[in-house]
Amino acid sequence: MGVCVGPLMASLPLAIWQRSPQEDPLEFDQELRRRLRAKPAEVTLLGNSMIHGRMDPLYLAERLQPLTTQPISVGATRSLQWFLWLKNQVTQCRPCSKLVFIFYRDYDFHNLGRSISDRLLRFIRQTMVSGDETFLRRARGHEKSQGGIDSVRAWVDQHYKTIALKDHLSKKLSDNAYDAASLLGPLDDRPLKTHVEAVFGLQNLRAGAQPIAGEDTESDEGFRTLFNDLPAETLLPDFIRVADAAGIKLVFYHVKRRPDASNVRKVASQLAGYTAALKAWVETRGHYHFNETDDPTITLDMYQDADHLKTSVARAYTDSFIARVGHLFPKPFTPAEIEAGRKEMKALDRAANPPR
Amino acid sequence: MIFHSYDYLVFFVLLLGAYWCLPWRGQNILLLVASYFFYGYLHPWFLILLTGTALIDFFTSNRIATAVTQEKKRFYLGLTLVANLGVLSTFKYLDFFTGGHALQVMHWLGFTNMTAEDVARLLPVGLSFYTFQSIAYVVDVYRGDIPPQRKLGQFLLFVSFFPQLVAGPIQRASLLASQLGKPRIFDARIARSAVVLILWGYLKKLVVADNAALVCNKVFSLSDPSFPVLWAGVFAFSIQIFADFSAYTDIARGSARLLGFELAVNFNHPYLAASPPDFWRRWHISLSTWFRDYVYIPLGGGRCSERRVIANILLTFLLSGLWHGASWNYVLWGAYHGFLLVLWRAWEKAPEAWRPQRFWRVPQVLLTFILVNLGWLMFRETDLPQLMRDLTKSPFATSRVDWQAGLYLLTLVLTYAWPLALHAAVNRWLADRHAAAQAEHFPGNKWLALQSATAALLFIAIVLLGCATSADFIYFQF
Repeated sequence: MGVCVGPLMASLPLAIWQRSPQEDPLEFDQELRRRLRAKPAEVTLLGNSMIHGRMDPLYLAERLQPLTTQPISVGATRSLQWFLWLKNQVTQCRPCSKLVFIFYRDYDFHNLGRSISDRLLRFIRQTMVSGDETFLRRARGHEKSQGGIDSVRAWVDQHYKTIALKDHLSKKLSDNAYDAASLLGPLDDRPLKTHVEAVFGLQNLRAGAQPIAGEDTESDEGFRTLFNDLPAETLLPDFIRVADAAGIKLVFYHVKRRPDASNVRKVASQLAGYTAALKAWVETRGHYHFNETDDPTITLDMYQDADHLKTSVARAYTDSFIARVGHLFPKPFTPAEIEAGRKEMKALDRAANPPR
Repeated sequence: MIFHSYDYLVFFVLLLGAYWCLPWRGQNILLLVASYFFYGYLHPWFLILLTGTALIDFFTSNRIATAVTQEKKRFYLGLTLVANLGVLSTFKYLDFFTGGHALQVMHWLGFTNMTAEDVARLLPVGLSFYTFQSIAYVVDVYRGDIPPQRKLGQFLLFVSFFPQLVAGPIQRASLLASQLGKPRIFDARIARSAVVLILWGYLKKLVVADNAALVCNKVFSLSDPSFPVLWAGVFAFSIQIFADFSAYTDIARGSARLLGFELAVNFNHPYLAASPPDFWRRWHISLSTWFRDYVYIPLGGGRCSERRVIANILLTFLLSGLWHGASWNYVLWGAYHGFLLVLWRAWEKAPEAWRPQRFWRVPQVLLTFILVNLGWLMFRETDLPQLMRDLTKSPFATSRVDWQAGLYLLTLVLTYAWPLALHAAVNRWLADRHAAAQAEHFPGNKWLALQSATAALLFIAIVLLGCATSADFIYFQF
């Protein structure tokens, strides 16, 4: 009996501290919807920093004129967020986009349980409408079904909000270390932070070394699956269903992750098989898949850190992107389409119940 | 299976429940099954090697005990050494001894479908640990220090006992095998201390080692770090390797203790060592004593000519370095420590008057720590040209801003590492008060309350400060 006392005592403060996991009410992002509706775009780009951390959106818009492009990207978001943007924002515009790019890396579509907490959960909830809780539940279920210590962490976090507290503590400890170091030298903590970031900048890494922190480790580290393992549990069928209903063609666009010194991104055979299976699955459903991993023109020296490119090469990357997928771009909306879309939108607004 | 995985927690809790419901012999059978399950969890073929060498050692040890002539005894001892060291050489050092051509050798042997990844996977985890444990056992039988195990099941369990199988501590038969041969009694007081020890191990691994590893790995991925940044990285590594390895030992000892076994202590605050020999009396004690008893002393130890003693020390440490890995930087690290011990031996022979007597302890500890850190640089840096560049860096050719960056990294590591210092201080305090029977110092329920509060603090610290990206234990690779 005595052996149980320690852990029981350990859990006591947590039990006192426990809060039932209450969800905040949905707060739909009307501002984004207004913005999208005000400027109907033939081409929409959905994703995370793989869009704004690689491409120059203004230059893209300029290059594609008279087409209108609309990038919607928030750092670290994953497939649940992208799906909700597609379902509740993009397809709710009239006229609706004809082509939607979804920028992704590796196992983003199958790793459904990632990026659904804290700040990212807030974004997700801002894109949800009534009835979408089922998608969030599915992602959470997937998060737990992955097993391992992560599922325990997820459970603990759900009850005690530990991840936010951990992040806060980690930042606080790092800030304190900066404060201590800034006492001794010419730099205050902020310029010192910039200097430390520069010390560990990509240009200072050894050949073949991977950055330790950031998007690289954030993305699918340790996650391995075969495409056929869980296709129905991902949101991929939902992406296709929603896009087909709105007459949208989807382009699943796999970005080239940071290559080695020979500019080659080595891909494990399992991931290569997964990507090929995903491509076949998408294409048999009448949509597109691109993988720029083997593109030799995207070289190591273009990378700023992890998978992000230097701002100075954003235009060159945008050019290469256009060259690669240019043949897919649709014709611009005609004035008649735009007018008809506006009328339809007004009718929809009148008929629709306001989102909860 | 790794200790800091959900799988292990489930495995261990289920095992513990079933274990204490069984009689002694049943417990041993269950432990053997559990140990094989634990070891073969990811790569079942590892079990073939483990069982194969164990069967050879069981056979030879019994033959040694019954052999009438010394020649026969030697023959069977030789057989054991050839089998164990042969397995170790083949699976661990093939690439090293063939100059990086292991894949070609495998192709030449007919395994034409093998890839470099397959060759890398050939090294079973813990191979160096369990072969050394088996060798020690057979040598002890040969010397007549212990009787051979007559029961195959018990011997297989001695070799494969899961808490210490993968990364030690390397157990002597006199300690572990004797415990296998008698019934265990559940003691709640001991079990409580085991829980605290396990939690302390998890804290060291997940909070201290993994957070220090973030700093260390970042620094060692730089092509040309400045002097302060480099040494902040080396300091981070010194914290990481100690916290990581001693964490494994603590979890192993705690797990074994919950099963009613007491394993050998492997660390005794090594960074409080006041000299290189003192460091080796405190660091990875089970390996140091193994090399002392089975290499250094058989070579003649310290009871021969000065030249021979120096050669013995250097050879022992070269082998110790090579044990850690099939790479030249480990050999260099071993040679460096051998050299330090030889220097220390010379220093000890210096006249008394040369050596300061008062206030000497603190600078000695600091100096030893610096020397050990220099060794860790050799240990961590696998690229020899890069190591030479690192060793020739000057502290004077560094800007103040770089010193600040180094200080930031150092402070960050210290922020996570202070529990190690606190632990050392508390242990010292308890030791000073003759706290072998610590419970007596805290009458009534005070000791229980103290243990529970400690467990609670450790648990909360692990949850809140544990590193999000946890790596394997470092010593798995050896």
